[in-house]
Amino acid sequence: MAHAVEHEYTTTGLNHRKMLMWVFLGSDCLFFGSLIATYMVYRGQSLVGPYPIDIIDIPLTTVSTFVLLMSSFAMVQALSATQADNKRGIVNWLLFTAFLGAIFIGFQIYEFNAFKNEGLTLGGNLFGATFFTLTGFHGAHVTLGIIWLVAMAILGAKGRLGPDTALDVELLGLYWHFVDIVWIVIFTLLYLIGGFDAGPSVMPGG
Amino acid sequence: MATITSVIPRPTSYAGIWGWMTTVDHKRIAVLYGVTAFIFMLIAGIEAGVIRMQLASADNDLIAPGAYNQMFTMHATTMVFMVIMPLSVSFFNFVIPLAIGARDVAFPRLNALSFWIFLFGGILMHVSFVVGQVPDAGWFSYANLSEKPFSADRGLDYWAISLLVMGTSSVAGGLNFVVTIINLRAPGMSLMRMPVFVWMTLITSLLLILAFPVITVGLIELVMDRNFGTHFFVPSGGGDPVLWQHLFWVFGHPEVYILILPPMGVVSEVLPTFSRKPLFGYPFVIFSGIVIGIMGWAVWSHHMFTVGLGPVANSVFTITTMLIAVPTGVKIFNWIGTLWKGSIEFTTAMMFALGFVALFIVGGLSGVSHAVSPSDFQQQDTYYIVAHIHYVLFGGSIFGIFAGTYYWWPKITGKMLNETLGRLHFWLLFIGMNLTFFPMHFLGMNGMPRRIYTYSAEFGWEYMNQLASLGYVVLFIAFLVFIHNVFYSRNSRRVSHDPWDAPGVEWSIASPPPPYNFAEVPQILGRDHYWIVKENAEAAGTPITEPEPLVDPNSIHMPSPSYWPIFTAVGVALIGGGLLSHYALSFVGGAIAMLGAIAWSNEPTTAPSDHH
Amino acid sequence: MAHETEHTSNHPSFKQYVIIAIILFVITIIEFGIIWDKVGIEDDLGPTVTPILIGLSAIKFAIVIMYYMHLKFDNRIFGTIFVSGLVLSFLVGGALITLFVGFGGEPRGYAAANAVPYEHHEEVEGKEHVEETAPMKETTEPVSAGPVVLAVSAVGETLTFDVPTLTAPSGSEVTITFDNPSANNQHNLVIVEAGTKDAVAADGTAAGPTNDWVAPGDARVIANTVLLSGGASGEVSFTAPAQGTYQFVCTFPGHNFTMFGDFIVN
Repeated sequence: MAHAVEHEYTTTGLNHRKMLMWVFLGSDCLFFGSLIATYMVYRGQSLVGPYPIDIIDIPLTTVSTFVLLMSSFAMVQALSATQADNKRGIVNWLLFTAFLGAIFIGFQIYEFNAFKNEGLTLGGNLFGATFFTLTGFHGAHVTLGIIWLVAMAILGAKGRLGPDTALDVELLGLYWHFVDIVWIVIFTLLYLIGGFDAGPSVMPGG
Repeated sequence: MATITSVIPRPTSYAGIWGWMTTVDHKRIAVLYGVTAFIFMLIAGIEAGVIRMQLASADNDLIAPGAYNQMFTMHATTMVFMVIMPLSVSFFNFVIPLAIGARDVAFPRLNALSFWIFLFGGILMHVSFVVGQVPDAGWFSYANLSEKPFSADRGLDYWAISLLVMGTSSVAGGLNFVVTIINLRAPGMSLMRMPVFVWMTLITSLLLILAFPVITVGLIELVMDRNFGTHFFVPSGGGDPVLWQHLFWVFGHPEVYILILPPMGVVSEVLPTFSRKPLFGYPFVIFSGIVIGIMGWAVWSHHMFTVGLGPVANSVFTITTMLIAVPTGVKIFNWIGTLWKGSIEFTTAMMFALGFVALFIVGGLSGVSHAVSPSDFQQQDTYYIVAHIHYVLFGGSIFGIFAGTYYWWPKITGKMLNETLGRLHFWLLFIGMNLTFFPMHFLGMNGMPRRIYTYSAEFGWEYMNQLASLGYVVLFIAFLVFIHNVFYSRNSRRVSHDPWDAPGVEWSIASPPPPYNFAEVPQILGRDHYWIVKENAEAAGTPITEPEPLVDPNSIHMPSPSYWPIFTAVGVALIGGGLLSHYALSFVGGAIAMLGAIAWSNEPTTAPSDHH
Repeated sequence: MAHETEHTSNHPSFKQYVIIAIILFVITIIEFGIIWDKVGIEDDLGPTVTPILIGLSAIKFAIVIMYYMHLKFDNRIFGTIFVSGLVLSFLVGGALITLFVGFGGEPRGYAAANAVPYEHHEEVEGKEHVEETAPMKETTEPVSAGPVVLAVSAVGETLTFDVPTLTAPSGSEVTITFDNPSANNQHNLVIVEAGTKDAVAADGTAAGPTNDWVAPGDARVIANTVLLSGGASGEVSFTAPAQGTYQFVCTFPGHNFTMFGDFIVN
């Protein structure tokens, strides 16, 4: 993305594309919010097992959460390297971020497989439906981010990233961190809190 | 990716079909949206005609019940998503950059992408007719009628997937206009100096990007229920059909404000122009628009009063719904205040704007009666609701859109639509609309349910239905008059850049505008900027003349045309189409979309060859 | 004319970013510790666990947004736009959840009444998931046990019983106490032959309320309570019949579709 620095006129002095990314992330909150609301509404409403307490492996997922948090740190370093015009640093930190993201996806694939072997399926019960849909779309967001990271790393290797084009890395960073904070919410609700759900329950007040 | 452009060169000119397919000029994209939406309107209008002919007499057998269900489903779905929304977007496209003193939107290629995805999505929806599997569960497709056991053919899949495709277009457009309006206003145009239409577009764009994700999730869950075995809305699996209703209406209520706020913005432009007075109470009109946009999120369950949410929920939503009538009332009073002691000019645009105000009041009043949940218990799912919908969407949105059409036509084309034909169009539409929909209030109160394909004579509904069907004939003629006007006016003489003596910035440049819009970015002097400019010029003794074309048009670098938007849109459409035929096609579509996105981001906004 | 005036000063330094990362890790460890049964404080915290976990993750959430996403140092417009979407998603999501879980209307006892109950497993690798209803015992001698008292109640305003299964030994003197805590609904409890609940209910509808919605002399009915108004309790005593599976149902018109269970005589 080798644009020259855009000194185009803007009313606010803020860059168009950065504003676009923030507005898009605001919109994406509603997307994940609706998926999370579906999960929360259907907690305790599955008619058959397996129920979360049988399946959810909190220690494993805590490790993958660490990995994703670390990838956000790596992403921040990639942006710093870009602003400091550290060509090798740019490529290495971008690749490291992508690598950590890929590890996270690896954990997700392992988890999905393990759950499937224990009988949790999309159609089996509501826990399966809501769990796989929510974490699946999150995983898809992460995967798109990894592709984007690799594409940027290639550009960086060609020497096309630097202080002039730091915005491009910054935009990727915003997207990547957003995906991380969505995971923070998912980890807390589906694992730390919801991971102990044991079968049918009438929710308080219901 | 630069290698692809060496094989297929980046387009550089506006000429021919390729020029239209690769355009990134907001003015051309506006025309594309307008023409496409108008064609869909004709299709949906025919569907309405079938409905009215079937209901014109009791125990009619013009069409079978299954086909009737398809008709009302497609009529409403098309009108909401493929007519009113894109017509509004057509106005956003044409007017907004001009009204804020900009040369284009913030992301011209994204703008083009939005159009092409909309077109392909609309076509995908209508492919359902070609394959004979048409959606037939109503425009809101309640679960679990929408589930596979009760809707076995692929009609509902066409519905859901086409809407998913078109939803991406709407979100992309909303994002584009939010950034454009915040970030591309000419110097001097503070937020409180923006024209009301620009404000309404900003609010609508925010509603678009926030509401569509919710229906996206609902549609995804429906598609998964129908095709991947989940039970999101299937009771036998523990799912709750009411969740669909919630997800749909959390989107659906902001959606109706998306449908009405832009036409309200148009009316707020037209009324001052033809009253020769500034808008009365500008801050109140703006503020009430903002309040409507925010409160629109708090009223959705008024569509679900009869579902059994319980007295507490029903009461809460009754209160919030009654409250949201207040800012609408504020706008109406401000419009009346604008007219008061104005020097009224009854142009066609003005008549449509006045018609909007009158008819929207009627629709709003029936809306208030729906707000009260006990009375809604009688009205829900009857023709009383159909009357309400059409007064606000036809008498409201469509009339507002026609007002804008007549108003901005000279700016878009350089020629006026014929005023005599316009008046005839207005009166036929006004009479036809009232003849068709007013009787429906009585039909509803007398118990006629919605979505029934026929009824017995003993109910006593036949007379009102005949009136309504007669009204359709009048509406049909009105549309013929409008189409005739469009063709007739192609040969009328050119008009000046400012035939109405209007206040907006867009009237200060030539009609039609040059590709670069403004030779010099204007310095905005206040609300109703161009009136101020003209007054200052009169006072200085140098009255305004026709704007001069730029000596060297190439001295302004505009974004270059590009084929990546249409290319990427093909990919997105194939993702949807693949889900409806062979999954492999979706992967191909995904690859195309990704390739398009990567190539697009490697392509500079303005081609190097366009630089000097 | 405002050109791009994004400053890139005000960055945290590398060291500060490391500290932020460590803070995030530590909070995650604390969260894990709270729920890890080897630490075992979850029970001590009781109902405060959920708010604490939510609070901790909200802190992580805010830290990433403010520092990694740089919102603390950036123009307020970005924050306003993003936070509006975020707040809206919380409000709307919260309202949606509340509508399902909170106030009245039709509460959701369907799963509670019909779901397969959770069977606790020991920590066994590759555990088979036992998915069955209450076990159907094979033949045993009829145990002439002492009197058996079984307690059943309706669930709030729902049309469900609070237990899916009742069990009693054949030949024993069974007393079923039935409590109807609802405000608005009338219920009864009728013991019937297996598979006959809907037919009995249909005949009961014809029989009317004066017959407690049970057809007099209905041979499929083993025993039944009288019709109980909201807030009332009642009981019925009978001898448990021959071993086998029976059903219990409420025959108030329409209730039989969701308000029933199995009565196992072993």
